[in-house]
Amino acid sequence: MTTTLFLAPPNPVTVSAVFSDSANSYQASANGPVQIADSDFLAALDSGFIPVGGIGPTSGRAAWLAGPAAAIWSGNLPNLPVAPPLWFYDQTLGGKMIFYDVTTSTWRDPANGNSV
Amino acid sequence: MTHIYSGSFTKRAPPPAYADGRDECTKVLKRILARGPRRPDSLAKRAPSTDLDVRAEVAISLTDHERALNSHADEAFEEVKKVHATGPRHGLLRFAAQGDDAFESKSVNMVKRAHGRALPVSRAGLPSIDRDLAKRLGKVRVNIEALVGGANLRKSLSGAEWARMSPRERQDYFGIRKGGQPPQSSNASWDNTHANTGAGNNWRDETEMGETVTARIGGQVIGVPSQTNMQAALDAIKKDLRRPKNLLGGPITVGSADHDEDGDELPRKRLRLRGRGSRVMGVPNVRIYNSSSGAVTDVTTQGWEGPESLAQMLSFASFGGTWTWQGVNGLYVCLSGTTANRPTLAQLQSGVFNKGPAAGTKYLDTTLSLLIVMDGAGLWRNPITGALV
Repeated sequence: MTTTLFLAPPNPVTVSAVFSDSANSYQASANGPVQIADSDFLAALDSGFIPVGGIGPTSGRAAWLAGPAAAIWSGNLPNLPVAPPLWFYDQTLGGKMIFYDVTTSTWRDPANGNSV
Repeated sequence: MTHIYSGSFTKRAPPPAYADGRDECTKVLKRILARGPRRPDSLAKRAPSTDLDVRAEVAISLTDHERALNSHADEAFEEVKKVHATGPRHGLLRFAAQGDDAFESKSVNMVKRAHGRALPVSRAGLPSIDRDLAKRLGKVRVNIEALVGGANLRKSLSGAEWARMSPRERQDYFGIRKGGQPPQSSNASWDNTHANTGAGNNWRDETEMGETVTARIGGQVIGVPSQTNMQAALDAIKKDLRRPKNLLGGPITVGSADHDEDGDELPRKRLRLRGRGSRVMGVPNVRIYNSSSGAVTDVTTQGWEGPESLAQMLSFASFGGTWTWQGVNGLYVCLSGTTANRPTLAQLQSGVFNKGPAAGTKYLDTTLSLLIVMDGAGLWRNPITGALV
């Protein structure tokens, strides 16, 4: 399952059931990251969480782009608290944050621009 | 006192007892005091129970000879003599040191010299009156006139008696001999211990203008400013001003020394000034992926003067728009730079960034080789662990 990595909102997080419109509940430590299901992405934004990017194996990149990333891509989130590009924490690569180059549809390493 | 009538007489009635119990207290105190002083507990006899008690008994049982054999008085006395022989301790104020040198006083020495200079004596053996000198030295004139005129002499003498006396008799009367001074009265003679008034004179307790004695009170040196130390201060300031000050191109430490003259560490203030060829601390680079070269390039945000905020430009570029700045055309990736160049929350919400919410901003820390994210409180965190970095 592709998940989304979040940072906690500004206020201290005492989240036991962050998303009231979801069957899932998430417990986040203070200012710590929490992973949520793609289906809870918008609810997480409404709750003030700050999206960082997707997380998962290399094979999960496409699902991430088709899911939450599409919402960001569409530009229908006027209050999105973070600017593109899209980021993905690739667990297969040993935990590397990579960004998505929309001009060439390629995931790249921010350190050197290489395709990964 | 109350009087009550009893037949044709009145008799005194005792005062009513106080209801607060003070009478009872008085009775109890009287009974206690009537027993006499109590023996202090410390004098109560008891069996020796501790080493101290045993030692005390042994000490009491010693004879004088045994006590002398156990005494270190002689050695202590020798040590004290050695200490005294070394003179006053360094660092003590002169007036506080024991066994100090003789007190030196300018005014005392001047008086001593004046007393040691004989007054000119006339042929008759009397002090001659130098009117000019007397006028110039007021006290001398008064004293000499008093001596001659007899008005303020300790030995009163009428004018008729003065006239009848021969010069020799006058010399004998005043104790004057040619070539010398009349002997001073006992309480006027200078012996450093009595004033001419006969009063005890301890010159050490008098306030006088002498050499400046500085004293250290607390952490401050109290002294009288002198031309010498004022000049020294001026020289130090001039010397410091002659030193070149690097006002451009980097951090400047205010304060030329780490410690002051007392050895205390000076507070260090760093001014970071914007100068030619240097980058202002806290202004990061923008990392751009150059589509043409296929590599990432860092461009500084310093000096951005575009009509739109940098954030708008970056957003435009990130959505695939054509964006060229400083000759680089490509895709905005993130902010980048060293740990020291991380922007603050305030910087991200103003200036060239002006992007509103700064939370979620990503920064490639080249010092840590780590992509970090600003949280909602303006703190930089590792996005994976949530730890502050």
